[in-house]
Amino acid sequence: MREAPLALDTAVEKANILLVDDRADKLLAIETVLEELGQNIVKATSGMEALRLLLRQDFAVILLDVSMPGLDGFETAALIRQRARSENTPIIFVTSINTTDTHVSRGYSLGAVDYIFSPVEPEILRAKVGVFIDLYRKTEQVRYQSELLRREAEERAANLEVRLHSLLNHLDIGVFRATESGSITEANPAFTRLLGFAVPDDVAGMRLEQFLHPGEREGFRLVSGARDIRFVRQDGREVWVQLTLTVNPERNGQVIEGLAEDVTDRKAREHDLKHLNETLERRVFERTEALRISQEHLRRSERLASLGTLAAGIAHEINNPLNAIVITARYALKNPKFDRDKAFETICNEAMRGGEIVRGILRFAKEEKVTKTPTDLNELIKHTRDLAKTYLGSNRLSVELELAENLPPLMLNSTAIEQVLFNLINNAAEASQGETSVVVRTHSGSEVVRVEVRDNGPGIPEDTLPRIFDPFFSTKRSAGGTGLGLSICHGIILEHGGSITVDSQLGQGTVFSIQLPAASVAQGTMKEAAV
Amino acid sequence: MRVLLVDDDKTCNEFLALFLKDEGYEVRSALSAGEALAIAESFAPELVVADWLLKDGIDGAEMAHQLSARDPSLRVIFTTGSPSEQLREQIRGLRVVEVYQKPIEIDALLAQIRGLRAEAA
Repeated sequence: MREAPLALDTAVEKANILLVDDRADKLLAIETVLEELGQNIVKATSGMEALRLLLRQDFAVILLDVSMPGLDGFETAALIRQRARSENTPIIFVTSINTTDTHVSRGYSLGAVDYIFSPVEPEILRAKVGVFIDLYRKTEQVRYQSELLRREAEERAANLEVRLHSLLNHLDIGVFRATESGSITEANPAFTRLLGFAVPDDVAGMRLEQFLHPGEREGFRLVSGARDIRFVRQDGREVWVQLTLTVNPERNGQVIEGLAEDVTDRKAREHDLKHLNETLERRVFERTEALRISQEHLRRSERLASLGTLAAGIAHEINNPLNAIVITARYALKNPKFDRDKAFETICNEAMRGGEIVRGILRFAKEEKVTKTPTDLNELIKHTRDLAKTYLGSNRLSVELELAENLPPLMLNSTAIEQVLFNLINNAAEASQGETSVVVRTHSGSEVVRVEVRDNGPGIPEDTLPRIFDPFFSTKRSAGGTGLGLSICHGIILEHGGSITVDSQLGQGTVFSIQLPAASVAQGTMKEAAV
Repeated sequence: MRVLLVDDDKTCNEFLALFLKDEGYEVRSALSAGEALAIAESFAPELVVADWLLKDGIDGAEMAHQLSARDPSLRVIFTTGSPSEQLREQIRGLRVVEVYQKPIEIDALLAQIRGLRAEAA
């Protein structure tokens, strides 16, 4: 507390004591007795004078003579009591010793707090008046302190209001109050500006809904909660507003308190960001698509390059049997003695060879519509093993399987992959002169599944290895090979997005490794879903 | 005249040899470049009729270069299933008489070889 409490002052200040008696000697006698208390004594010689004095100042206690001419003590007391300011001032009646009990009770009924009988006992008089002086002082102190507290509270309230007012005036967020029906009653400058007005009074009485964008009016409710909503300002400009309403009960119905923040920039940034994300997504999609197309082109050009090699091979391979046919026929025609049967046999064989080569080419070049389905590779391998043993003779071929557990299903054209596996097992069987042991292993990696076909045959010479997947490259032409088997295998594996490699050591055997993408199931499913 | 036939097609070799033998040539045939080079050591051919594409790593053109290195007077006739610019490049520097595309015109070939024999005589 900054101010000194009043209690200190009242202790220093003298209290007022009013003595009322029409007799000067009695006044003097009482004054003399009370002087010792050291207070301020005021004397009146009539009830009227006493009333006049009471208009000017307050008294701690009044000593009132009962029997006075004019207004007597009782009448004076009654008038004193009638005035609010003095209704609680203690009155001590002074009366002669021989008064009756009735007299005393009347005094009490008029608000006397005590009686003193004259002639007064100085000790008793001082003690009684002293009590009221103390009471007065304490009452004053309490009054002052409560006044002080009240003033402090008022000051603080005023301060708070000033601060709140300043805050509301400088705040960049619109704050307003409105009636239950949305009629604006109060607004801070920010809200006023938000709506495009100059001073808060301009918006008072306007309806909140009249500022809503036409597209927002439907579905808008004056209920508690936050929402992003479009406003149209007084100047016609459209703004995005984060509007937070609180509906509070008041004495007469309800009141709406609201916060309104201009979030147009944020909305624009959000929009930009959304646009940016969409652009980014679209670009990623375009790049992915471009990459896919260029891969497609690459594969096609690889295929075309392969076709170029193929065309030369075809010409060579077809022209050889044709050449043999022509030479044989011409020779037989020219030499009638030549064994015709032998000539016809040769011609037939050469024609069949040509036919076989054409069939091989067709298989190789056929643009099959490859349908891939989720396939259990291990099961496919088991099936192919059984097939190989049936066709190649189980007595001289042993196929051992070492299959990985938990192999994911792969998107495969099972017929084509079966052809590859059969081809590799067949090659392994043919490579070995005696008994063949082939091991087929599967291995599951995170991105690829690997299949190995290993044989214990004589191995492939180093100079032959690089051409082994070329079309028409054959080491077993005499045995009827077309030189297309492994290049068909290569094509099938490429078609599955995989790769095939060969590793061979002379005298130790050969391993063909096929890598197939493990992710092809998911991709395949997505492709199918997109169609 | 000594003629060496080189073709990995056995039937072609066989019947072309019959034609040439009937006309009185001394004929040997080989199924690969390696075999031809080995035969040439003792046989010393005056004419080689070779398929361009041979399967054992050395093609007809390469083989002809090796044979010509030993005997620069060697005449060469090529047969091929698929003639190409590549072949024209590879036979530069050789005494190439003709390149026949398969299936060959056997009468034209025989006439040409007869011409060579007359020239040599």
